[in-house]
Amino acid sequence: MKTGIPDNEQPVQDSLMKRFRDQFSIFFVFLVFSSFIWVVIKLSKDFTSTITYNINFKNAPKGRIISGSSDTVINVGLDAKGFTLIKYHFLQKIPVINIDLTGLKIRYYAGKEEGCLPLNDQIQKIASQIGVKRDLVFVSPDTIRFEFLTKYKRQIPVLPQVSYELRPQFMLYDSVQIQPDSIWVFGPEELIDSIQFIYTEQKSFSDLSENQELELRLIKPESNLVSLSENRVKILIPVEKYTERSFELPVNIVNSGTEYALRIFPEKVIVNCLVALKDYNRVDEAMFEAVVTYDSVEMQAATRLKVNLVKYPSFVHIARVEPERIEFILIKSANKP
Amino acid sequence: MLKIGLTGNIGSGKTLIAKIFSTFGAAVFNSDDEAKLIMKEVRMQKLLIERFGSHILNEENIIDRKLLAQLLFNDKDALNFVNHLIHPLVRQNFKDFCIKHANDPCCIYEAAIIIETSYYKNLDRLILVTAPEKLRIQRVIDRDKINEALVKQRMENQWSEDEKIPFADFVIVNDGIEPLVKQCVDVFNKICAE
Repeated sequence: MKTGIPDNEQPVQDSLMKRFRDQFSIFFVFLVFSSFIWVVIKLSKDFTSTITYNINFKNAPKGRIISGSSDTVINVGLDAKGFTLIKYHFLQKIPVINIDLTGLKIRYYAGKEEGCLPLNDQIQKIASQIGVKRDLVFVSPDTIRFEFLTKYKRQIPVLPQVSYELRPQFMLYDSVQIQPDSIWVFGPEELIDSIQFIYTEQKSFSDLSENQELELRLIKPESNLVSLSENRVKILIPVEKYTERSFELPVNIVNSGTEYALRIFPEKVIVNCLVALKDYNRVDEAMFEAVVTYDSVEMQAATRLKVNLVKYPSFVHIARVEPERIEFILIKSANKP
Repeated sequence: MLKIGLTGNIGSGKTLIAKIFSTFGAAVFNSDDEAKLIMKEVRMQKLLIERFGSHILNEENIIDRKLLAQLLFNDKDALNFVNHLIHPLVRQNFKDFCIKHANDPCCIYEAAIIIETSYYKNLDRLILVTAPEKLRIQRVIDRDKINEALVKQRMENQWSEDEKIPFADFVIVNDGIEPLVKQCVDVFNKICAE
């Protein structure tokens, strides 16, 4: 193969290129080394630098909520050696500085409650949180202003957002139990008065055939001014297998003994109910009472009286009363005109 | 005093209608209850044991009615035997009952089979109680605690309501919608007016 370079010039060119590469490598190594030395010398000197921190307020005056503050960040001026500043800037930067409001004086101004906190008084506390001793030279702003609202509390019921589907023949044995069923909500009066319920996170179940016990997170109202006494609640969904039972009951007449005697047809009704298997032997006729009420007004208008089940165990579900309405005859007492 | 027959298929509500009539002053004779009493008599038990054997006695040494009913269900000869044994005695007792209640406006003979045995010919009037089949089945299930298939099996041995209606002087509809008391008052007033 032919190239533009004569065959006898090729080794000379290769030799020159190799020499150049070797010299460049040496140059680069020295360049890096000298730069490093330069940085070390520079960072060994003192600098003044400003670092911005997010701030969090704690120990608000008793019974008050901070509804607003003039600043949410502070700038901290540090006078330190370069190495130390790098540490504060990048290596050990704390996410937030807590500002302690203990002892803050509240003043009333134009119907509002306000407070002023000179940050110079807090310099030592801020320095200790950042981890500096004598390097901290200033804090900006020098004062933070606050607006306060009175803190109210109200007990508000918890509403679980639980949906479920039960397996055939299974039913809810009792209502869904929530522990605690209400919690304390803290915040400005106007806000907490507008809250009817505290909702849980949503959860759904399908084909339930046994008790479900779980912990659900409470959904905090959107406003930052509102806080909750609990973050989670326990939920119990009691589930049992049910079967049908029926009882024949005499129908009692309530408020009889007026000038008319009431005769009812039939005198007995059949109550069909659903009972949990575990309660099957617990339930008997004596736990039920069916009545019709002697009501002359109703009787004038109706041909049948409604049978009311006035007593039955709380742990059964009444499926139907047969018949639901019964017929009657009013018999005038013999001694009445 | 009139002799009134009160009949209807299983679950139609005969007994309830009879109770309403008794409120009006009618004397009610329940043939089923009477038959139960007759079966408890010693002479009757002897005859039944001779025919069916001692195994039809229950633990209390009286006729096991459920077992007897099962035996009669599949044996027409046995059914005729028992009917010929019991029915004449029941009817005789009804005659005695009527004599005893001669001063009452009427005597009601309540029985499931009055038309089938032609006994209605011995009565002055016949009341038939009807109800939709679905409702009758449900009533029997609730009352006797038996399953639907067994109720239907029992129904198959009875005449249909449509077959019985031509024999009745009065039809009372017990479908849970038509007011019963009003129908009974109307029927009773018509009977008394005669």
